[in-house]
Amino acid sequence: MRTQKGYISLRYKHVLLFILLGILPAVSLLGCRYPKDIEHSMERIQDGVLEVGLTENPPWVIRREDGPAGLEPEIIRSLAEQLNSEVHWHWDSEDDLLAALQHRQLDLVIGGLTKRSRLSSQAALTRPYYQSRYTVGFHSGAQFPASLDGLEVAIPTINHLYAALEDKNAKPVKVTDISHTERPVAAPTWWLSAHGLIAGPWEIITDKHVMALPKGENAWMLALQRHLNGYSNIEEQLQQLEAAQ
Amino acid sequence: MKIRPTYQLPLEKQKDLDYLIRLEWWNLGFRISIVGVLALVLGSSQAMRVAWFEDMLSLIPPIAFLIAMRYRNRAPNETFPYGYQRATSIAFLCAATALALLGSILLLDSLIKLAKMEHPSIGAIELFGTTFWMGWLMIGALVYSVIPPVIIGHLQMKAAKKVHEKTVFVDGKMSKADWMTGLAAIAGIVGVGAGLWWADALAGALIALDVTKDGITNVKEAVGDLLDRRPRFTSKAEPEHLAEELEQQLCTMGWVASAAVRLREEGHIFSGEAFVVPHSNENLAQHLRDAAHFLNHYDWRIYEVVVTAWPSEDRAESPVL
Repeated sequence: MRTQKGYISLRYKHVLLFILLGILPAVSLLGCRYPKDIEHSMERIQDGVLEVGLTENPPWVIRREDGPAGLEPEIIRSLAEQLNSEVHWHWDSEDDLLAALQHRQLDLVIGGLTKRSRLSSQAALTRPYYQSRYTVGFHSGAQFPASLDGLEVAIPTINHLYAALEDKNAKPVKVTDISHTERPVAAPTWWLSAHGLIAGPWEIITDKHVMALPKGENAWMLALQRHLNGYSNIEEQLQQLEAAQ
Repeated sequence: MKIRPTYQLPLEKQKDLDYLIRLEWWNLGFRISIVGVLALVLGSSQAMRVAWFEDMLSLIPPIAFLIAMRYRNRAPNETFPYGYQRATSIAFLCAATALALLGSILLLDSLIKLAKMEHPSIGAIELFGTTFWMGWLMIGALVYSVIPPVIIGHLQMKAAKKVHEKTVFVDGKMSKADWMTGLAAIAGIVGVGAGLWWADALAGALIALDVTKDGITNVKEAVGDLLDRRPRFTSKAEPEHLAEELEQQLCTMGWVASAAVRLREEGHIFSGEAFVVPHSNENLAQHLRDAAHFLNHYDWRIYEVVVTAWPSEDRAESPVL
């Protein structure tokens, strides 16, 4: 508040201005590519090698004798083609892959990853490129109830649907194989249509599917995000992949 | 018990104050819109986060002022015989403390990010069918966050000076200087786009430093007000010479041998005591009342000056019992 102090604060603000004036010309000298990667991923990937870590998780990532298949490897192959880069696939557990990502040994981790906070603290996530909507499906010819109240719904033994179904007053029943049951089944819409079930209108949970990149690789992120946003027919592809299993 | 009369602003000052209150509502509205816009584009950029916190903090001064306005005009009563004029000073102290504390937390957070060499990720967004870098949107939001405060800050300073509202004046001064922090955040994001990982955290640290500095300055100011420091001009750090002026006025009165006055600030108004040594005791009670009446109407900022008489053998300048 004192005039003297006012002078000091003015000078200190000038420091900010100098930093800004320093950064702006630096940016203009960079040329066409903006934003740039902090660790130059894009320069290595384009006309070079794309290091991809993957975990088996059908139909997102399917492990076959002749190499990886499934939705996500397909998406990455088409991007690699565009960028004229060779893909090196590295199979490992999600945990190992995320650690490798943090040490910048990988450019990308896939495996049907969904958006969650633990993941976003370790890696930079793409925006969800697909939302898997879980609902209850019925066998053709079966009665369509007005609500899920008291309805017995088949779910796999390993699932993340139990609590959400109970919230909707349904009775979840764990079965070993949901593709061979007489009961209505809770599953994603693409799974239901692949198995000839008719999807109900309820929304139980939604999985937001993402891919994981190293933090700070903003040009690489932008290139992948552009590719994902332009990628269509994901639901149909998932259906076909599931039906083929 | 002697309860103070209610303070009455002169009519034209009341109009100025009403304008200032309207201005503060506008200020609050714009500030809320800025916080909302920044929240929409908030990514993992540290500079952006700090700028956002700063904008959230900047909601406190107008809110504090508007709340204080509700309480301050209550008439003094049995429980609060001195009235509620100091409500603004308390509000000011609270706002300043919040600013200083949060500023230092944000500074620490930014420095930790800098030390860990964290690489900030700024993703992409799809709007109207095209995918573009989120940084552009953030810069747009930051530009919006800079413009209204500069304009309102300028108006605030002008209006606050008229009614001696120091809290609003300081807030306006800070808002006017805000464009620098907005610019720093933009520089941080532009820097990240250029592949400089440190630009973002550094910009965040600089903004946090500015927030902390503002907070500490304001805490000092608010504590000074509450400690009955001698009045100052709204706009300047120089002491107000109203006390000396009142002494001179008293000395021109025929019955006064010498006079000493001290004043303190109670929010936007002044109160204090005048110690007068009369030539004689003749008509003294009447003289004292007239002098008090004169002093209390001498300047619109004066609320209550109590006039007391001292015997001539005592030095009026140092009335110590």
